Amino acid sequence: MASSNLPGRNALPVMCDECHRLSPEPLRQSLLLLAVCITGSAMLVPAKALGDEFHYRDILIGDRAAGMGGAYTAVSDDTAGLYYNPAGIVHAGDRNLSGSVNAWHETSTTYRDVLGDDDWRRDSAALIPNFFGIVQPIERGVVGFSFVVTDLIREDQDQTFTVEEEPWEQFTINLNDSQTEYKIGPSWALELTDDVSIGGSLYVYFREQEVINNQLVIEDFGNGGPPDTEWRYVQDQNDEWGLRPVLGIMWDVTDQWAIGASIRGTQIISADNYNILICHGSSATDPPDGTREAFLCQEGEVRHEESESDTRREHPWETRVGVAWFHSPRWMISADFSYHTEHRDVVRGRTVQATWNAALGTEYYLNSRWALRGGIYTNRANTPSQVERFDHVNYVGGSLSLARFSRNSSITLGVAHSQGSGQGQVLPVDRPPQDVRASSTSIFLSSSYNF
Amino acid sequence: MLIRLGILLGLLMVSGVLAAEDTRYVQSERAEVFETPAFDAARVGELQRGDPVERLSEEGDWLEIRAGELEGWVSTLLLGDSEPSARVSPLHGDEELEMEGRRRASAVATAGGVRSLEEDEELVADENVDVDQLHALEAQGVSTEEAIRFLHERDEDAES
Amino acid sequence: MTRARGERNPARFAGSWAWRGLAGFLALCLMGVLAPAAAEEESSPRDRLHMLAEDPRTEADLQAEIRVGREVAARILARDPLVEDPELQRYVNLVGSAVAAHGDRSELSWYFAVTDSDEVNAYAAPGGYVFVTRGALKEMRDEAELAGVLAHEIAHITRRHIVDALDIRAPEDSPLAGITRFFGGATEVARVAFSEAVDQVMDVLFEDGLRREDELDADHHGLMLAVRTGYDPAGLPRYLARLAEFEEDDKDAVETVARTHPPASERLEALERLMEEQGIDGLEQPAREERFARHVR
Repeated sequence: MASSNLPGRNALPVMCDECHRLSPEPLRQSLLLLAVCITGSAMLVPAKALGDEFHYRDILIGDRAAGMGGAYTAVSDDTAGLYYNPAGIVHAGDRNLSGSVNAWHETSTTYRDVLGDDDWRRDSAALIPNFFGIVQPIERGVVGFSFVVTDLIREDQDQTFTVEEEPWEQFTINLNDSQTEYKIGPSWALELTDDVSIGGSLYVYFREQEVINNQLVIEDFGNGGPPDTEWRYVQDQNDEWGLRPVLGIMWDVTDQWAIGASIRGTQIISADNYNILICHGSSATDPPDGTREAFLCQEGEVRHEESESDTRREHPWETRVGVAWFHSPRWMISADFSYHTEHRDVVRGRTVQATWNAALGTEYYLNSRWALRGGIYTNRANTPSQVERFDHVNYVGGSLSLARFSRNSSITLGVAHSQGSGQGQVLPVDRPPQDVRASSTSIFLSSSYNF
Repeated sequence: MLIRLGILLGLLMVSGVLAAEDTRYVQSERAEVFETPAFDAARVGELQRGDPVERLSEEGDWLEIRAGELEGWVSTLLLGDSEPSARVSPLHGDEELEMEGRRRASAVATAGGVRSLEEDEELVADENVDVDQLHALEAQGVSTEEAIRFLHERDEDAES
Repeated sequence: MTRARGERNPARFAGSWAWRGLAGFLALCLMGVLAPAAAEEESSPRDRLHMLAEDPRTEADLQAEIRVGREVAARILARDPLVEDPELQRYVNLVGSAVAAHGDRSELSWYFAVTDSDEVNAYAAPGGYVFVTRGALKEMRDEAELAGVLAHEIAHITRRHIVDALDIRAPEDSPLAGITRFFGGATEVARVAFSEAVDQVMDVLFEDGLRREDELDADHHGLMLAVRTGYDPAGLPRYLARLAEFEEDDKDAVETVARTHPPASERLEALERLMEEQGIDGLEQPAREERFARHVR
C-alpha cells in the first residue's frame, strides 16, 4: 500500500506560467480528473490498459531468442523456433529438445505531473512461465509442441492521497489489472530441399483481462456533520480465444547465411466482454465549474450500469522476416524485421494502427561451456502518435544473457530491459496530453535439455 | 549501465580466450622422444605415462614438445588433453586389481561376488550371451608388464 | 508545458539510451570479429560451439562403454566360442596387450580372443575386447601381421569409433539434468538405451560396418601403433594384400569383412601413401616370423 501525504494546497509550489492550472482546488481537481479518466464511464471510455494492447513485443520469448533481443526468425533451430519460425526446427537435427523459460517481468508507466506537480505511476510485476517447448524428429520432418505466454500483467495498486487542510480530504484508488495472453499448440516442419524448409504451428490463443477499479473520495468539512463520501466501482472484463496459425519458411542461402520468414494471424472464435459500473455521487465531486460533464455521478445519485457482449475483435497479421549470419560455431548474428497490419478493435472502439518492430541479436561463445548473447529491439506502439485517448510510447530495449552448457543441458540467465517515452491522456481530452515515461524489465532463467 | 555490462562482457571474453592452455599428457606406458618427427630418427629421451608436455608445434602425426629440459618430437597417438585416468576394469575394484598385478582368475571370482554379480545374472538369463565364455576370456588377459617383457624377449628371429 | 522546464526531455532520454544500447551491441559484435575463428571441424554451419566441443569423458562414461562392450563380448562368444588352446590364447593376449600398452588408453583392461570361426575376420567391442577368428589367424604369416590386425582393432577402441557413432555414454549426472530427468522420467529410457546400444554394436560389427573414414582411420592409427610398438610396418599391409586376393577368389570366407569394411585394395593404397608420408616404408623392424610360427600352428 503506497500512501502519499501531499502538502496542503498553500504549500504547493506555484510557478507563474502554471498558475492557471493551480485553480482554486488544484490537487483535488487533478485527482478527480484522473480518477474519472482511469475508470471511464461504462460505455464510453474504456479502462486504460497498461500498454500491452498497444504493443507486440512486451515479453521476449524463448531461451536463446530472448537473449538475442528476439532476433530469431532466421535462426529458429531450437524449441523457441516453434514460435518464431517453425520451419527452422528442422535444423534441430536428430536431437530431441525440450526447453522452458521462466521470467520475472516488471513494467512501470509514469504519467508526469498529473497530480499537480506529482507524477502518477503504475506498476506491474509477475513471475511468468514464459515458454515451454519440445521438439522431436519423426520419420517425415520434425514435430513440436509449445506453450507461450506472450503477455502477462499483474497490477495491484493501492494508493491513498490525503490533503491535510480544511476541508480534510482523502482519495483512495485501488486498481487491479490482470491480463494474460498465451498460446499453446503443435507444430510440424519439413525439409523441402537441402536448403529450404517449411513449417507451421497451430496455436490456440487465449486472452483474459480483468480490470477492477475501486475509488473512494472522503471530504470532511470539520463542522461535526458526517463526511461526504463518493465511491465508484468499475469492472471491465474481456476474455477471448481463437486460433492463431503460424506459417514459416527457412532458406539457408549459403553456408553462412540464412533467411527466414513467418506470417501469423488470429481468428477469434469466441469472446466475452463484460462491464459493470456502480457509483455513488456526492457534493465532493461536483464539477468545479459547469463546463465539465465527465463526472460520473451527481450528488446523491446512485448509478448502476452493466453490459455484456460477445463482440469479437480483429487482430493484426504479423509478418516477420529475418536474416542470420553464422560466422563460425563461436559467433553468429541475426536481425529481424516485423510488420503488423492495421485493423479495427471494436471492443476498444479504436483503429489499431499498423506498426513495425526490429531486432538485432548476437551470440558469442566464450568457450564450449559458456555463451553470451546480446540484442537490441524495438517495441513500438500501435496507437496514433497524435494522442487522443491511448498512450503512445515507443520502446527501445536491450537484452543480455549468459548460458552455461553441460553435456545434455544448458541453463541461461538473462535480462531484458526496454524503455521509452511518449504521451498519454489520463486527464480529460480537453487537457493537453501528459508526458509518459515507461519501462519494462524481465529477468529470465531458462533451461533446455536434449536427449 | 549497458556500457558497464559491455566492459564486463569484454573481460569475460578475453579471459575465456586466454584460458586455452596447451598442455598434453602422455597416455601410453612409455613415449619415446625423437630428434625429428620420424620413428627412425635419433632418440633424445623417454617420457612416462602421465608426464605433462608443452606443445610447441605440430606436423602431421607428430608433436614437437617440451618437458622440462627435454625437447623433441612425440607421436600424437601417445598424447591426450587430460591426464590419463586410472585403469578401469569391467570387474569390481580397479585399484585392487592394479595392486594384484591384474591376476584375472582370482579377480573374476571376487568380481562375481562383488559388483558384477547382478549384472552377470542378467546376462545369464539372456540366451544370446555366453557368460562362462566371457569369464574365460577375462581370465586369459595378461598384465602390461608381462606383455612388455614378452615383447622384448630376444628371439632367434628378433633381429631379422 | 512540462517539457518547457527542460529537465527531462523525453525524446533525448530515449535517444541517448538507444545509442548506448547500440554502442554496447556493436562492441559485442566487434569482439566477435576479433575473436579467433577456432579450428572448427566439418559440420553444419548452424552447429554451435558447445555441440562441437570435445566433451570430457567421465568415469561414468567409461563404465558405460565397458559395460556395453562386455555384453557385446559375451554375445560374440555365444556365436563363436573361444578356441580351446590356452597357449594360443595367451600368445595373442601377449602380443595384443603389448601393442595396446603403446596406445593412449591405458585406463582400459585389454582382452584378446581367438574365436572358433572359419571366417576371416577380426573385430573390436568397445571397452577393450578384441577378437580375431581362427580363420584370420590361419592367413597370417608372422607376428607383425597379427600385431597389425590387432592394432587396427585396438585403434577402433582407442579412437572410440563405435562409442562416438552410437553415442554410448552415461546419463548426465549434473543436478540440472537430474531434475530434468526426474520430471521427464528418463531413468527407464537409460535402461532401454543400454540394451539397444548392445544390439546396435552387434549390427555395426556384423552387418552395417563403421563409416569408411573410421575404417581408414583405424588402419592409419593401427599401423602407426604397430610401428610404435616395434613391429615391421608392413605387417598390416601384407595381411590386407592377402585379404584382397580373397575378395577376388573366395568371397564367402571374407563375407563379413567385405560387407563391413572398404575394399582391401583401397585400404592398402591408403596405407602405402601413409607409409611414404611418414617415411616409414623402409623402416626395418622385426616381423617375428619364427616366434609366430611356434605359437600358431
